[in-house]
Amino acid sequence: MISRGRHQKAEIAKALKAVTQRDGLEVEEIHRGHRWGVLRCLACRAELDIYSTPPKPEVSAKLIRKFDLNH
Amino acid sequence: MAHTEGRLIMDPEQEEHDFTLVIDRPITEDETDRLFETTAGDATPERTTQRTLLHFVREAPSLAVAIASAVLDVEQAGLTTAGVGSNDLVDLSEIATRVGRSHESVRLLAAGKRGTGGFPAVQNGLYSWALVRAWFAGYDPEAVGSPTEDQLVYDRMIVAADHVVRARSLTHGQAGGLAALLSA
Ligand SMILES: [Zn+2]
Repeated sequence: MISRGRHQKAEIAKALKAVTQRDGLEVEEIHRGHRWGVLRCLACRAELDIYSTPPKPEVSAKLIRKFDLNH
Repeated sequence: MAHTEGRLIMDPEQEEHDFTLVIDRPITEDETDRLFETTAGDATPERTTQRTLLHFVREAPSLAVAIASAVLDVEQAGLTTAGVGSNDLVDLSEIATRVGRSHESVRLLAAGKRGTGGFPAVQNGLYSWALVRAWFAGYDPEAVGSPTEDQLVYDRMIVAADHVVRARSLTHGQAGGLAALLSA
């Protein structure tokens, strides 16, 4: 079952919520293959992949915060 | 690596290594899925219009082994690595570990409630290790004495790995006698 709106891993959902508080970043849910979705920078169109079942969700959360820092 | 009562237990011989492999074009959706399979999910792609950054956090006995195995895993997915870069961003816990202080001590220094002030700026809980290291060099040089050496080794290894990967790409893996120069 595909549940939309929130990543099932709490630390990823929390990181996504934090970084999309500001304008300029958006989340697109894809739910295809291994990807849950992408985090996109609206200014430069860079995209960070977000896996549905990453082996280490805390690493994904950290990369989401780094992406925010760099865009 | 084994799971015991829900906790990750790392092999004592294994350490986590952070680095970024660069692919000189945006990768496709199929390639992304293949990459997840060949790297066991420890590469996270960041796509721009010109290139893809593969952010790795990989357990291995050394950085060199981590990078070499990652490059081969990427090739298994049908992709060619064009370069290697470092991951510079650290959180307070990582800083505390690297300077050998408690998390609370580092938190107070960062907040300017202790120390000389002027601690490097934080964004979303992350600091540039290069800036933090430079700040500690002025405040408490001993704290960054041996970690700095590790960091210098890390920086040198990243640059060396970048050159080796570029050489591999230039020679299509057929470096012949040149490979001997790296271990002679
Ligand atoms: Zn951007």
